[in-house]
Amino acid sequence: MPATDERLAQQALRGDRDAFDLLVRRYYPRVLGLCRKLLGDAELAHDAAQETFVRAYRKLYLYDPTRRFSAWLLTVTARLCVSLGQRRERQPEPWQELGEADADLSDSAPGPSDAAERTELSARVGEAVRSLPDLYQPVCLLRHVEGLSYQEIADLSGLPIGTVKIHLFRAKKHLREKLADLMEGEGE
Amino acid sequence: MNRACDDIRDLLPLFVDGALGPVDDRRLREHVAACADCRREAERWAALDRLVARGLSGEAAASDGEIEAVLRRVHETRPVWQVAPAPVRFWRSWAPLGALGLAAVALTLIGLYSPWAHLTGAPAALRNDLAAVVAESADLAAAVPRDVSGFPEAARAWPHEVRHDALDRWDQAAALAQSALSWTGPAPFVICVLLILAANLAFARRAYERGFGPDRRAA
Repeated sequence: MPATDERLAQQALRGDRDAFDLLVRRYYPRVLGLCRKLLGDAELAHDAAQETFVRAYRKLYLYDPTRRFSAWLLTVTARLCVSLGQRRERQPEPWQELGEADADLSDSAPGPSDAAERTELSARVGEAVRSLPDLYQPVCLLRHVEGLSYQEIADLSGLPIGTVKIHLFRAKKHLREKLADLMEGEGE
Repeated sequence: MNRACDDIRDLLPLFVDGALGPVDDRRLREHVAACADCRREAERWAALDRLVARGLSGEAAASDGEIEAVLRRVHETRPVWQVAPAPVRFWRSWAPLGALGLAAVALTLIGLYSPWAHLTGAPAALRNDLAAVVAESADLAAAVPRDVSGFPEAARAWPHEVRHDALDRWDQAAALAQSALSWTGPAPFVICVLLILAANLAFARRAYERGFGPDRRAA
């Protein structure tokens, strides 16, 4: 039976480097995919995904093994992407063409028929999430990517449950406005 | 749409996430079952959740080379919990404080008991009293039962003389402290306060340097 993420994280904390290597192999594609959606820039996403694991390894002692490792790693990813996004906004780089960035937002597994539609959806949702205020992005990801309950998000982020509710409520309103046209065909 | 609908519209996003308390949850469940407009609205919020989750799901293609590059970077990293603490320099350690305290005690004893004690102005009574209290306290300490786990309740079981002597020693110690204070003046107490302050500052500084400062907390 493969070792659980939480057990691997504990082994890594005790100095077992192979355990953390295994976690990197397990989660790199997922973290990279998320970074692409959050940053909208393939090159920056690679750097962010690398930096996420370096930062996670450096700060592994902060991880509480009673909680889900994937959720913790996702929080590290989201915070890093938010700070990278802020830095990029302050220093816009001329070679980062929007079209070029969006072209690289697709997920790896190119589906047979709905690949284009999926790429479009992915790009639009990524753009909508990027346009959220920084405070709302991590909680939004924990809810929609990890499927955590509000209480679990509060426990993980250290925010009061009431604050989590407000952040998610506002995030959803914002996303609904941004994605209104896509929702027309979404099971209404 | 009636007034009841207005009241619950803002709660629908939380309702579809199952994040409401039991009372509100039951109220909305009943309302949504009866009101087609609100049911449609709840379905829209649920559709948004599905849409966002689908848009954010999926993994990116990652070659073995990329993963190896990440692993190389991780291996070059020394995490906080594996970094040996930096050697503490003498003047930043507790050693100076301890040395200062020992020096103060030594100076006091020299002032009281050296052949030149009369030059320091220490009253002879103080010297004798102090010696007597130290000797008697040693006897008293020997008489006190070793097991003090149930203190102070257990003290009731001590022999009457021991308790009586302990009280006597306490009175004597208070009188001695008063006498010593009249001899030395308030300087030792000021030094004690300064030592405590310095110890606190040293501790706070070391804690900050070891990574508890505000600039090192962000993950």
